[in-house]
Amino acid sequence: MPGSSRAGGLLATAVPGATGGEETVARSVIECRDLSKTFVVLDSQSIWRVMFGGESEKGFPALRSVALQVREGEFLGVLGRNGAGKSTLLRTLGGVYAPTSGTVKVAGPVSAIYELGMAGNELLTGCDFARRWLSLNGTGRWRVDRLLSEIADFAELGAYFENPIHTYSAGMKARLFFSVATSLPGQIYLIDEVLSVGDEHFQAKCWRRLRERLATGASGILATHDWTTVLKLCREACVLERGRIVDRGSSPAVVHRYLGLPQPRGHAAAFAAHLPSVYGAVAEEDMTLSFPIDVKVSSPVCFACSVESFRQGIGWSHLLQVEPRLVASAPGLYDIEVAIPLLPLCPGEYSLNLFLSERRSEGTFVTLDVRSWAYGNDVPLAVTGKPRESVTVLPLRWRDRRTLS
Amino acid sequence: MQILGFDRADARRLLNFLRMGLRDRFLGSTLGLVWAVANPLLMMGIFTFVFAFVFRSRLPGAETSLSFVIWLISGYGPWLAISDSLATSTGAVTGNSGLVKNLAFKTELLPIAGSLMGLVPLAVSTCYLVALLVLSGTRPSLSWLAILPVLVLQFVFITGIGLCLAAVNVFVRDTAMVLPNVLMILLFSSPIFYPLSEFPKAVQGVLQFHPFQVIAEGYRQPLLYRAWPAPWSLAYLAVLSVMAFLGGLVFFRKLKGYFDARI
Amino acid sequence: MSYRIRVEGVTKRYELATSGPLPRAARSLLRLLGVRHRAARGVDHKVALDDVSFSVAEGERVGIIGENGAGKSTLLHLLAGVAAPTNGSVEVDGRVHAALTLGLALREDLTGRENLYLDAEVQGRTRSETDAVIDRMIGFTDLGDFIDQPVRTYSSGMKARLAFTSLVFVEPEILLLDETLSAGDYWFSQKATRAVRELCSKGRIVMLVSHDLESIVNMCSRCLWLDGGRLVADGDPSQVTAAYRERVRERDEAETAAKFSTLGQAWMLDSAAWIKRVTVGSSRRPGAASVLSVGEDAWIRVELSVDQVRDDHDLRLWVERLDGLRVTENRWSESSVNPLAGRVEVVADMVPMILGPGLYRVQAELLNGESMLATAGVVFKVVAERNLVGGQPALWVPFEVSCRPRVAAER
Repeated sequence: MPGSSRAGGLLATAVPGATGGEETVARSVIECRDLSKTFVVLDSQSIWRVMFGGESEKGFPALRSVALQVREGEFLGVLGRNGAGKSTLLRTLGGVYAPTSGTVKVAGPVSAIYELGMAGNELLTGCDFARRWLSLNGTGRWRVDRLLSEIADFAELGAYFENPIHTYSAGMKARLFFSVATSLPGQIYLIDEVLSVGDEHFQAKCWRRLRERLATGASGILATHDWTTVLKLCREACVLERGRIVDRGSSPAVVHRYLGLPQPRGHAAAFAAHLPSVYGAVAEEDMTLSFPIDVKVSSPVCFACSVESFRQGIGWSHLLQVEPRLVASAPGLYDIEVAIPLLPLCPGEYSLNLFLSERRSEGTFVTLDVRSWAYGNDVPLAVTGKPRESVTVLPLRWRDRRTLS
Repeated sequence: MQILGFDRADARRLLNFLRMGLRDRFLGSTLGLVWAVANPLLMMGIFTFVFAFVFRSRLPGAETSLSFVIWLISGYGPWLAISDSLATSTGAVTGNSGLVKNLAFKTELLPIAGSLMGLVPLAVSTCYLVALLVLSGTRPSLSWLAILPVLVLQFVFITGIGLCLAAVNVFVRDTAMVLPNVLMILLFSSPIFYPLSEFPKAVQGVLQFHPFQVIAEGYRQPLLYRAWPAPWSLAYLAVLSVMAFLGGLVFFRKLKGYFDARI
Repeated sequence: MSYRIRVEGVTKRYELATSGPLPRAARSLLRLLGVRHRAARGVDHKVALDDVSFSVAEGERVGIIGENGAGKSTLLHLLAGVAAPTNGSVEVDGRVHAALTLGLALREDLTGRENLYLDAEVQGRTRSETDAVIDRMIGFTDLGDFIDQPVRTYSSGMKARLAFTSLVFVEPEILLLDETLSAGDYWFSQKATRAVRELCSKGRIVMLVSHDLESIVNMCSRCLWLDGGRLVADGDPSQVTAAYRERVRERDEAETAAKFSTLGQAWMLDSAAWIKRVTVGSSRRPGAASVLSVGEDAWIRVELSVDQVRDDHDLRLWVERLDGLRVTENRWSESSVNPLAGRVEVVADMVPMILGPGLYRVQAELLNGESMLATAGVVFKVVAERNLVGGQPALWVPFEVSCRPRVAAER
């Protein structure tokens, strides 16, 4: 499968020579093998048969032989359309449903934010619901009281917090539920479609909270139909269709295939076939990268590139960028060289994105060939050198001036 | 440590559910707590009035109606608890579908908690009974504590039945609706309003082994006659209760795999 | 033009139960007795809509946007006739079909197919009429085999699809949708958009409340923006949504920036070693500055005082962007062996300064080994005259790009 063998390229596996040969493979926090879940729908005849010891045949297979693995500190995206089985998968992993066959292994207590998880006694006020949910999940009374004001504040319900839930709109219920379900810092999350509730302002809040949790090393699974969310949160993703995993790999590649986006074919100009599959550089030293291209036309060909890195909870961030520059206007074989003084990147793995485009007379650009994470074919850039605690590093020059002592 | 497939976390969860149930039923509304006390009292009051003053029933060999009332209440109080327990546990799973669909826990705990809710009407009726006893001049005695084993066995027995009914109710929702009628039939066919001796001789022999008769006697003997209940009846009740509980548990566990699509 | 919906001067006030120090029953008792203290307060008044007026003509597709609590759902409720305005008038000419709460009309124990039939019946269609279109309806829902499963087993997205399909095929004169489309996925949204356009081309009116601004732009011909119950904009969807987005972003940025600035307050363990001040500035102008320009040389100055010279004293400097990106982490010990002693001013030159536009915080930490003795910081902004083509990188680094014909000496 194209792209899947590269899936490991962007994870925290060792690059030869990068960190002195140490392998750091994180342990897996969620693992399931050959997981299947069949819902047996009993009608009036089969009920009596089952009650008196028989078995029932009619079943609806919601999950079929699903195998997943989530490593510590990572979020796995599960994409799928409505009805693909995402909710069932999450609930089975979370222990609400018992699997029909297969194994589920979870390395600890799970914070689950299920869709429609609010269904319950609607006579309760928002406050009572929060209290009840927290105590059902094992929170002591004193902690509950302290958390309540935080929950009320986050959900932005105002006075409605003290009103019965049946007076809430669907959006308010969802906000209350998200606020309650994420109030306790957890380590393993199962999130089901709840990140698209509320207005942009509230969504920004939700993402901030999620990033806070991620900063403490949370891991988990995000199941959604919204691919933009997957791109923000997950490095790896898979696609669930009618209960089966039909695709997996790095999330941009998977999303690209999921959406069925076309890939530009490099006829007029393209990166040469022998373009290196990985580039290396040393932090804080001058770097020169070379990109061979083949040009077949006589129009102005421009080159642009960017260096990006994936930040969990934010998505792909541009770190460095070369604006489109004219490189050739006649057919031929060329080598493009990009030189950067004192590379301001810290050791790690980055994503090199290369763009060849043709500049039209109106000032627009037509893409000719692309190597980019959005198409699943970006080129990794491995930077080695002195490790620091930041992502990038500024070339600072120190000097001191003594003042009056 | 696991007993019958339940561990300490389950015990905590059970207490949580019980607290939840109590809060929903009694503290949720303004009149909730009042009703918890008033309802049993009202029922007992009505029956007291009807049987003591309208029908003027008397126990064979007794003079006053008060003693009859005391005899009546000592059987009816547990009955109230039993019917409450059964009604609550039958609807425990279907009525908490939100929890079942979103929280990972052993679903058996819901009917068990529902059954334990019957402790409230039991407590109310016991207090009422004690008041009546004191009124009639009986002094409290240590033998009253003999109702405790009967109490425990009663709940074990009823929980077993409740588990069965709860599971069946998921598939045949009419169960919860038919239950009150069935209980009514059982009530009037048990020696609660009328002593065993009033039944036709032919039936008496069988009725002696009626579980509700055994339970009622288990309350009456210590409270009214300061005697310990007959050992054989306790043993019989114990066996019955344990069988009912285990049977109900196994039945529920077998069916709970099919709940998912019906809840 | 004959209007189908006319809303004039509509105000809607709600009563909300409040919580107080005393239980509800006690408070109502106090109110009965005439006590007017705050503790006896029973309800709060909330103005959900404030003097809203607009008209909608045949064939219009109107989107309603606004923040949580802005009154959007209330407006739909009034249009549907479910509630009455406190003041003003609502005139609706036509049959209204509203999907106000997701799945409210769906019977959980029936299958999807049965629900479609039931719904059609409720709307007044005969069985044979429904039979004629049932296959198209099922195709529209895209639920596949699920159509014959009980609705109880559906996810919210599936329920939304079913409810929407049912509504659309009923061909209402006026269709009110309250966020019911947000649960559907990308492909369904496209289908829904097409269906809505078709409906409106037949002269029907569709009013849609949503937080998904994209779908509003795609689906609607007009957009209303409600803020705090007031109608603040009414016009072309792309313009109104853009303005709304801008406002939300500004406010969020201001909030985050305010919070950002309060972090990293100066702190010191004791007066033996402390940081007096951290400032930044540019080489072009003397003195400290709070705004720097991309590309111009800049410096960071740390004034500190250390009484005792120790070998493991070190100064750590890090710069963080508003969104949490750690842009650099440097130490004094890397570049110089001069120990820090006495009242010193240490300067770090950024030549060139490669930070991209944004809001940053530079924090200086005085360390003793690995433990922190003192810290102080300052917030500064970097601005650029123009945006780079192709994105906003974190660092603006001067690249040199050259292109040479490839030497034919390839092995």
